[in-house]
Amino acid sequence: MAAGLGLTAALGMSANALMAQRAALEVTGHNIANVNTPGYSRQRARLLTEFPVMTSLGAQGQGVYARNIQQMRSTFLDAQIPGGISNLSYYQEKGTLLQAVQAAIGQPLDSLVSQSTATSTDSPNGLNETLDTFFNAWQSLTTNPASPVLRQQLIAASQAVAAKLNEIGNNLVTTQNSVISHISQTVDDVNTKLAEIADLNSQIAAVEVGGLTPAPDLRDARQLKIEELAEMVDIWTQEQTDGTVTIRLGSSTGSLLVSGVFSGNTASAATVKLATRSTDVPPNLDIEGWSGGVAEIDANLAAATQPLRGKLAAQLEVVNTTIGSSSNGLIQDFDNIAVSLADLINTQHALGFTLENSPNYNVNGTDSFFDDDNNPANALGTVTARNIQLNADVANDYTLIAASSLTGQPNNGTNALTIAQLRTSTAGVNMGGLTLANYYNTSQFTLGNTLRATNSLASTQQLVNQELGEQRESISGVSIDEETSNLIRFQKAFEASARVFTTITEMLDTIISMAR
Amino acid sequence: MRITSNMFADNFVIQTQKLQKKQIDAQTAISSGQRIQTSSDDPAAFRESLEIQSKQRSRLQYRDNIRDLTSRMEINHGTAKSFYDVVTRASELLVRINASYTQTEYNLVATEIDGLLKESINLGNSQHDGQFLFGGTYLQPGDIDPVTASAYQPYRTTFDVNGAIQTVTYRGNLVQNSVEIDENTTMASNIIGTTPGTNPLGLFSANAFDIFSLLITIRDESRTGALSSNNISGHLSNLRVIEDHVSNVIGNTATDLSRLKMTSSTHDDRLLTDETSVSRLLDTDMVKEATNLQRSLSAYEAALQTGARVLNTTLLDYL
Repeated sequence: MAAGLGLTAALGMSANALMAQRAALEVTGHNIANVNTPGYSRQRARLLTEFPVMTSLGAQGQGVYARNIQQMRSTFLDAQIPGGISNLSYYQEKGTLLQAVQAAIGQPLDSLVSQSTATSTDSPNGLNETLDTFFNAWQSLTTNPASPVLRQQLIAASQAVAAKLNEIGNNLVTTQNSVISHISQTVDDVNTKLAEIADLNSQIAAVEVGGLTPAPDLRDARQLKIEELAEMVDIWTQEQTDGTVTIRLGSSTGSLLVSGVFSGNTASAATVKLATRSTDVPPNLDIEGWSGGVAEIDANLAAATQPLRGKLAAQLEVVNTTIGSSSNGLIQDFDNIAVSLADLINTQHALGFTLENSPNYNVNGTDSFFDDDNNPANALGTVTARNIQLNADVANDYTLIAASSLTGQPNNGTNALTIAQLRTSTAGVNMGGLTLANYYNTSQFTLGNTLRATNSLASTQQLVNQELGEQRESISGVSIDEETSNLIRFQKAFEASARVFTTITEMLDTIISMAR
Repeated sequence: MRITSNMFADNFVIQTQKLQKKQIDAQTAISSGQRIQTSSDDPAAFRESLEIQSKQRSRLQYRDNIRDLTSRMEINHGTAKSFYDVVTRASELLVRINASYTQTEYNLVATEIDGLLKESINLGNSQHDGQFLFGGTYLQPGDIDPVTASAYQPYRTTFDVNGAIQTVTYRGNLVQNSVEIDENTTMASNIIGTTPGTNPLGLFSANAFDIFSLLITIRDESRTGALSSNNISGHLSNLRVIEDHVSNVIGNTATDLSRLKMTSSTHDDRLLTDETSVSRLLDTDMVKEATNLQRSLSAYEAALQTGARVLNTTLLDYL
């Protein structure tokens, strides 16, 4: 048995070492190049000692070889982080949208109430001030019920309160439509991401066939796409043995979004689809049925499956629940205020007497002091925050205001006083025992409280995500200092291996020259 | 924990963002003078402020109502005092009459009484701010009285063939308007001119008779020499009833004026209290915010300095 490996084998060993150090140095360069690449996880060339051979000296090592490229990542954190991203994205998107809703209502708050006049309509006002000004105008009218000036002032205040409700109602619908168009964009983005993930699944499965050759960069790209998807919808992910990832909506029992190489966006497969407003107002999210190579799950879940987190969930919640419709949410709240205002005022106004047909003054007030633009004869049932207006006849003729409670008494202001006192009435339609102002203030409180809580939860979630991100960065992030030291280390090892190679070559030359 | 290159940059961005958020919050609070801009800043305080401000606006309206009522009440008060002078002058004229009075002197008395009658009617038809003061809530100036088909006045007169006032009829009604001066507290804004019956509500009537018919009777009796001592005694007694009634009205309006003044003063006090409450809820605590701003500015400067040094230093600098 020969002593040692022999020069030729030693030459091969040093050549292998050169290649291994070069490979490690290349990986280091790859790390440095990607230090700022989003989603990148640092890599290591996995250097292993060559299998020893038995020589007369015993089991002798044969040097080093680069086994493969290893990715430094935590599958535990990779699974945790999308959930955190979904939560944060949900809170942040909800916060942004609620802020837009708050702006749409536009209730300013100034610590100083104008001391000049209680019925001033000059400054920019919210509904709270506008309602006060309206009822104060009725109060003013009680001091001189036949006064043309006070009646004109009341008309202006009535038009202002109707205009304010119109403005809020329209702003809410505009905001809602704007969010709906965002939902469409988000759904498109979701479908694009699902297709991209399915495509990456396909590439990873092809590269990693047999489990021998990892595809770290492809996995990075897929993880990045998964996290981008998690920003939009909450997802449940599970890696399969073939390296592909299965994605479901929300939980392990949620609707299947990606399975292997199939996604909702591939031909003949499912798609996340937004129901059209004409059939489903406000919109809901449908998951269409699957077909084409993967077991079919529920066909047309028809609005039954909603994401609970992620940007899309926030958008759907704000559109469907916060802003809502005529039967829920803020639209209903402001419609209730408009209907109650019209109902309370109209009912009492119809009991009074106007200044019409002087000197008899025996004409009852019109039964629609407030009405809607389509149906002036009967306000209730059709009036909403968006269409409430002062009856056009009253707006054009102040004598039609029924301030008097008795026929033939133009200077009687008893009906005006009764209407002014409706400010504290709790008998409004669907007001839940609250006055108009209290109902509105409560609605403002609820909206403000929800926004505050959402912002607070977003801050907390941000800290959690930051912590998780730092943990992952600690494992997967690139350190320039570390890579620079590796650079030097591999460079020196390469140089040393080269020196070994040169030395062995010289030794071989020596032996060859011995034979001459 | 393993520290990576991007941790420095990421942490630097996150921390400076937090500090900048604190700075912008403090700057907004200081520059606006308010710690709350929207309901989400402090929902409970926002709601409370809206409700207090709503009450403030109600109080301002009550104060406006009181200002208007006070003006009207002062005129009522002044008119009642003028009317009181009319009644006392009539009494004086009757008291002066003695047995030596000639018909000429009776005629002078009759002429002066007629003047007092006309002045009483003028007072009864007084207007303020486009309304008759003593006509109740009936017609307004400029309306045509459906009964006389002439311009409406609360006190309608008829004349005899000599042009002397023969009758004075009250055309107004007995309805008083109420104006709110505080929550669920109202005050009548007008005094009725003449009330039938014994209820001494009307300014110009008492115990089922009114001043006008009494003055017409005194004037006519004075002219015709029918003003006997018995009649004078009866008239003086009736004038005293009216005098007492007018005194009461004057006293009541003075009381109402005083009450209005007190209520207005209460509103002023409550407005001030409400303003303090709103200020406590909304206004910025300048010292606290300035301290917060200074604190976050100092931390921000330190973060920038450390960030600049840490981010700029790597092993590469020493190779």
